[in-house]
Amino acid sequence: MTGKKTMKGKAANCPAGKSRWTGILLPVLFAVVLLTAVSCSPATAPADDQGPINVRLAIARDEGSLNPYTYVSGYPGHNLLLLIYDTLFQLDEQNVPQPWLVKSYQSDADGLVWSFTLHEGVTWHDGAPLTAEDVKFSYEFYREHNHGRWTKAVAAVESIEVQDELNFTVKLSAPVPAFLMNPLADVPIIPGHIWQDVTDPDNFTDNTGSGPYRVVSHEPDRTYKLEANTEYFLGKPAVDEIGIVIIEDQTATFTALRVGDIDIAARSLLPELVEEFSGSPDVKVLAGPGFVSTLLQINNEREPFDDPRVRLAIARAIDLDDLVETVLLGYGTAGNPGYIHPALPGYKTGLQHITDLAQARTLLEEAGFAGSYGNKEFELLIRSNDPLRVRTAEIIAESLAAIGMNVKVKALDSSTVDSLVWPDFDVTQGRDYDLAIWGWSAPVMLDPARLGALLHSDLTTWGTLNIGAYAGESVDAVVEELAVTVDPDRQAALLSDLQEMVAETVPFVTLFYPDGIYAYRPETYDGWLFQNGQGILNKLSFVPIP
Amino acid sequence: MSAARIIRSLKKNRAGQIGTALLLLIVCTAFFAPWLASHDPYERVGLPFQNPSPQHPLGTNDIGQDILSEIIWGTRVSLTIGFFAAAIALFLGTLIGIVSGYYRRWLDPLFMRLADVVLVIPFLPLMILLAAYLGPRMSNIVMVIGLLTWAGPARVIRSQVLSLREYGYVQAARSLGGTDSRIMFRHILPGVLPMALAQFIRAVSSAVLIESSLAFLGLGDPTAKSWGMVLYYAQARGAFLTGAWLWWILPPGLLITFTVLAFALIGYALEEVVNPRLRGGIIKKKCTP
Amino acid sequence: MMLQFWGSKLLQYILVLVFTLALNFSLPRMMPGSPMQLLAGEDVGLLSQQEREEIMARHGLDQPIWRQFTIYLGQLAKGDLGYSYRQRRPVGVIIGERLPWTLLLTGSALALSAFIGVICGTLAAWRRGRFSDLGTLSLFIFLDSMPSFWLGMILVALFGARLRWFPVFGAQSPFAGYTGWTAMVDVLYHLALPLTTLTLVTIAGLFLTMRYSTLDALGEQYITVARAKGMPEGHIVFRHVLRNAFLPVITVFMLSLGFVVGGATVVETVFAWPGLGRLMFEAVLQRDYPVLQATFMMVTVCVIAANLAADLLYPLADPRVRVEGRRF
Repeated sequence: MTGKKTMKGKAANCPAGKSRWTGILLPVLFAVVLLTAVSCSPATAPADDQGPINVRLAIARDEGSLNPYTYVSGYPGHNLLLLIYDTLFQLDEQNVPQPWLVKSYQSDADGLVWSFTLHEGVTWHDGAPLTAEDVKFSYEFYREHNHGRWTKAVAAVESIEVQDELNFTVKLSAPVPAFLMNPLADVPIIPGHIWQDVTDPDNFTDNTGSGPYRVVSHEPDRTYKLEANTEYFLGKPAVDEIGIVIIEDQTATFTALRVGDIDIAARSLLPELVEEFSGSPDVKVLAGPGFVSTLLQINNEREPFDDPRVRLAIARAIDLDDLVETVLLGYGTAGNPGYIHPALPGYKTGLQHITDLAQARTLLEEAGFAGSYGNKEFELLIRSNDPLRVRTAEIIAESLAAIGMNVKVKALDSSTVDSLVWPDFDVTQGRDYDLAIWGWSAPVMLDPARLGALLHSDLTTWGTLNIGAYAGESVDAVVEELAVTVDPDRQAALLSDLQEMVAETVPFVTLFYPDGIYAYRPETYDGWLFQNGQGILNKLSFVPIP
Repeated sequence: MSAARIIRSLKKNRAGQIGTALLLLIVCTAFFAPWLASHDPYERVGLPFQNPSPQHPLGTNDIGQDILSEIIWGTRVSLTIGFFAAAIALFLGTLIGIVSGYYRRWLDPLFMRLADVVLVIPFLPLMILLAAYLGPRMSNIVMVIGLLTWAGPARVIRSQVLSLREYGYVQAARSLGGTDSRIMFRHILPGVLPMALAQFIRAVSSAVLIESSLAFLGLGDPTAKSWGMVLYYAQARGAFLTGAWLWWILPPGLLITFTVLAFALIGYALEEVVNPRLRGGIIKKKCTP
Repeated sequence: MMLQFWGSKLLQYILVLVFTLALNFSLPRMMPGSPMQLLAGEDVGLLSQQEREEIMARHGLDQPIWRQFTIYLGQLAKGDLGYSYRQRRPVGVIIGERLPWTLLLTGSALALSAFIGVICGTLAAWRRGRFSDLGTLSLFIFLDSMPSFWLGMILVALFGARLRWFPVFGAQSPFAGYTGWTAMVDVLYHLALPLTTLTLVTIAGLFLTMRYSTLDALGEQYITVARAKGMPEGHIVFRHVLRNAFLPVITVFMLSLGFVVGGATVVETVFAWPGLGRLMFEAVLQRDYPVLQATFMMVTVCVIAANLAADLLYPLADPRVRVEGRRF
């Protein structure tokens, strides 16, 4: 029986005046819809064990045409971008830069002149060879055509001299401490023959790259189809086709994963679902440290938070382990008081977060807090669309109440929070908040230059991410020295000093780093590789390091 | 129509009876929340994500608060939001309706076009804009809902005023030289009150629904424990993907449904009482053709 | 006289339109927050002052607000809806992609609920007070009282995730490559759950209107006369009652038709349906001004057009109103 017939049958039945027709109304309603659809549901394609591997990946938002000027987000946009474009270096599992497009390299003693040799036989998706000219073109293009991430990264590159197709030399105006990481392992190389006449890159949609995957179709806001680049210079990638589906809603994403409509989600799995998902034989869960930080951002400019004792008291009042256990159900790492993630090489061991309410109260007393601010209500700003952080804020407000600091959690939509904490994303325009739950993405953890931007007191030049207007003279000096130090030992020493200063003067309280938790269906593809702190969506999941 | 008569007619109306009974139950829950709830809904009393147990009949939420207590207290929050939002809407609606219906010459076109604007602009997005602009605090949510829902009641009341002002007693008061405000508030207002009451009841029910939708979209006040917010956290923390939907999602949803239903039933019943053309309508045994 | 009446009606609607246009334009700009992050991409914090100004200037956001408004009106007059800040594509194209999906979902939900609502409404009124009337009535009021997202999510959890009868997201199977008939079936298959949800929660309005107006019509003198004359009941219902009872329903239907374009943000969110409601919602959150303005305007225009159409249709359907109209 088709849906239509059911409907007619009911309609014909009604005027006869049988009062039971209402009783069947609901079932009929359902039947109408169900039957129409079920009877005609498309048959699913039979699984083929020997066939090509097609992975369905869910992301939350459209990422434009996925070229270096149109991709939208740092994660997963940048990660997808780097499946299509190549960089000169590539971060390995432990985030150590390894040569990628580059076969060999060397630098002078000051780290100012670098010479590189590219791999032979690297081609663009259109078949043209990738040469040293393309590298030169790319770096110069980024310098001239502004893009937040690339332009800043290539700023120190003074000139690039091309010797031949494969060899080139880069001259820097000043030493760059993590040169191999940023820009070399971060900035994608674009094809000069395609981009040479581009004047308005923001509206240029070509996405011909040299990476292991090429974009074969893009239905905006719905799907992307990436196809393996069989000519890839490091061999054919492990997965033949990556079908990317855009599903914005979190519940819909994980429901789709569970029923098998998708094979992996770029979105980190909710901690409370780990048990549920790993219990299923079809789904595997891979978890590891994440470098995204969650901070209690303090407005260092505003009284009484300009007093380091008050800030330290706040840190002492908060039980980070309890936060990690309660909010993240243990899937996270408690914050290093010196900010840098413990899984990173620059981490200074021995800086333990201490929860000590008695000391916190003493500190507030010394600062004369109760007298002037005992009755004042401070606001803790929080983006209302992030339930985990709202909970974090609620628990922190509870902790601070215990030391006599009256804090009210104020939830606002995320653009509004940004506009109060970081008006127009420009720290020189001031700030209007007491406390806020904030976070920085992984690059701000990995790159010492950006670390400095969090802390330096000169907001126009150095401290462009210093949203709390923190000022510490000794910190400034360290940041400036770090920015030009290339010697790894000296770098480590400076980073260590910096973390100690941060722990002592508390520009913000580093609360925790949530783990990256990824659920996927291993029957489709099981070769995912967890890049420490950055997750599984990376080139190494498809192509091994040479 | 006197209050006593309204109550008497309501009593005879079965929809009204059911609605009133439901509402009484809900209001009592709200009123006796401190005694009914076993825990402070803001206190973390157990481990997060606990399944139902004798201590926590509906388990615990994502930070270990007792869900049953949350829902019981949520009755207060949701009813408060619904009540005040409807009060704002009806205050504006009645005032504008009366003034507009009375001063037909100049104020009527102005107010009615204003009502058109409010009815015409996309409702939810405007709500979002205002909520985002004012910030998702409970008081703002109340205000936003109130400010965007007065137009419907205003129109209904205006049309009643239009017929009332032709009534003998109003005409008489006017010919006796009563001032405009006296006529409007002493003579016309009592006439529209029953209709305003019916509209108010309907407005409460839609306000409760609207609040829950806003909360679901992440535009509610995440620090207030309304039913909508409980649902928001439940779905944001994966309750639909685990067994938790049985105790974390069904109960608040059903409570919203029954509250809205209670108000709707009373509202429909009242409308029939005050609008004679619908008399014999909703739920009366015998039809009178 | 008639012309004058319509003229003033039209003028009023135009006034409303202009006012809402201005409101649509200024509201997003009054909101705190800026579209800077969308415009500059990630790492917006690393930009220099000069680069910021350049970006704002490129999108005309450095101009005074009245100037932006006149530019906006000028573009609008040329049919140019601008570029989305987020998607970097013409807003017209984006809306063109979303509109069919929205119309499919909300349109068919409205049609379905009107169909069921009218039939059940008439029958319920006819059998007033009996079990069938009370049953349908309570059922529809009950459905009307449910939060739509809640109902929708329960349907997804039940029929999508657990029973796997229906897809759990979207409007089409991605990469299925269906064409023609199979593509249509695929869409219907995806449509089932959102359509059911939306229909169930919207049915009450039309049902109640139909029921009330039928009751109303049944009480009229001429029905009694017809009955007295011994006309068959079916004849009375279809010839006399329905014709009159339809009027308010047509009005309600026309007015709802205007809102069809706006989509159903909540239901679209639950089912990841690619409609306009969700687009609008996203645009608000991200301060994507051009998309916001364009979608707002479209919805406004459609609602006004529907109002106007309802005004125009009403006298055609009801001779009594036509006479009154002439009296102006």
